[in-house]
Amino acid sequence: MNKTENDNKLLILFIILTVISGGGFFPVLFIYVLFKYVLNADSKKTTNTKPQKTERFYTQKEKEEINQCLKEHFKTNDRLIITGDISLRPQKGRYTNLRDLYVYQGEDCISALDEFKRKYNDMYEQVMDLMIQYANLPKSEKIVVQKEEPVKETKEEQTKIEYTNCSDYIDRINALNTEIEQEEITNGLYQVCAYLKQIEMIEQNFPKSHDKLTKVYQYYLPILVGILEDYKQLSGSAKSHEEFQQAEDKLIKTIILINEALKTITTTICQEEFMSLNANMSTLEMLLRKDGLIDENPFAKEVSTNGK
Amino acid sequence: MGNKQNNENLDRLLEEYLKDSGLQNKTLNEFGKTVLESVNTAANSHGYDSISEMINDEIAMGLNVKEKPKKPSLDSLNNRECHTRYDYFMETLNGVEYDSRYRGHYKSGHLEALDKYIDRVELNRDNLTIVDKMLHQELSVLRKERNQSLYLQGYIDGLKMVDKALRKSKNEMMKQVYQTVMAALQ
Repeated sequence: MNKTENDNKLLILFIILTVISGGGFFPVLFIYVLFKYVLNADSKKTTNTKPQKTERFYTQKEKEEINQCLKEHFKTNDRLIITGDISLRPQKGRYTNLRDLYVYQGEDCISALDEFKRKYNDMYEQVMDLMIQYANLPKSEKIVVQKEEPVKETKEEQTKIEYTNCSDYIDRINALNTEIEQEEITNGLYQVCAYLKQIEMIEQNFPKSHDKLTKVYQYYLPILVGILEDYKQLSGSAKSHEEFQQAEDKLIKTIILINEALKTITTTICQEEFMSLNANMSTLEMLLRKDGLIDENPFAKEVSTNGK
Repeated sequence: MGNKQNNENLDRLLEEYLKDSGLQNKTLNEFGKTVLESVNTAANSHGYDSISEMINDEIAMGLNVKEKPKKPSLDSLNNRECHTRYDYFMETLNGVEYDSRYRGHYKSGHLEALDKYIDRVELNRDNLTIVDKMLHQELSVLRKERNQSLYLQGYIDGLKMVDKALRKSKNEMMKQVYQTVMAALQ
């Protein structure tokens, strides 16, 4: 509308000039056309130049912060959620720089993040700003997407019985043993309890050995108790099942292995004390010999005198 | 020009059969079938499925009854809204039509390209960026080919069509993502 108004004004002006100039129409017309062309060219320039939004410039520090943050994030997560089901993921599973990132909607890979920068720069800038904010969050506030499987596993572990001393385990195993009829298993479990009693006595005399029994109390014995409980349930309800005999035979072998292991543990938990004892005795013998208080082979003389 | 070429083809065919000593042992039917096969093969190399189609088309073109045939394109698109890149891609390639002069060997090559990449897209439904890369690699090699038979022309045009469909699917999904993200972040 402005353009037509300007044109009209220009036309009126030139008509007036023509009249004033006394009929020199064609030169004036030529000047009018030329002027109009120049004006139109100017107006096109002004209308065609869209206000260009300047691209946001990211400092080296900001880029490094984002890179570092994303490297840490993708060590424990496979994606960075932007909103809803839209996320960023490294194409090859391992993040090295921003060019590795691809935009996903759900499980559908759309395109590289760089392509969004070219086509939808405003969205790219918003996402980058978000990442800068995320990078500046304290570590405790950063979201870590927990996978479901590990949570399930810990829940299963918590249902196992766990005691911290031998006497509780001895009581529990004895209680289960009274309900087990199979003789070999019963005898094997008596042996287990005997070894556990020995371990208890060693632990009482050598309290420092408790640290070496952590695995026994937290893993071996709880698993054994769990196995015995399952066996007890199956023997009550599924004894006639074809796999029951196989399970029973395997349990007998397992108990033999447990007894072997407990025997090894009893000899090893006070290994250091035995070594220390032997070392002290050897030291004393050396000192006595050095001071000349004993003969070289005192036991050999005794034998010879006795032999006479 | 076209008629002259067709006459030359027929003449050559007849010469070959006249030279052929086995011609005496062929029945008239067998001879007719052989001639028809040869003639149809010649029509295929000109972008027609059969000689009769070629003749009809030439007549129609000559009489200005029919428009100039166009290359198969993605112009007629369905505008169904899709939720994945795979859906957009398949929807885009739906209903490709082949005008006369773009059938025969051209159509065979074109369909070969489409089938090949549809299979690859099926295998990589969740990640069409892999198919993008394969396609661009193949196109960059084939574009350098100078002696392009009609089959190869069709094949290359098929690849270009697949490329266009992949780009369209990507652009549509990028637009969706953009709208969702901007709505959420504002």
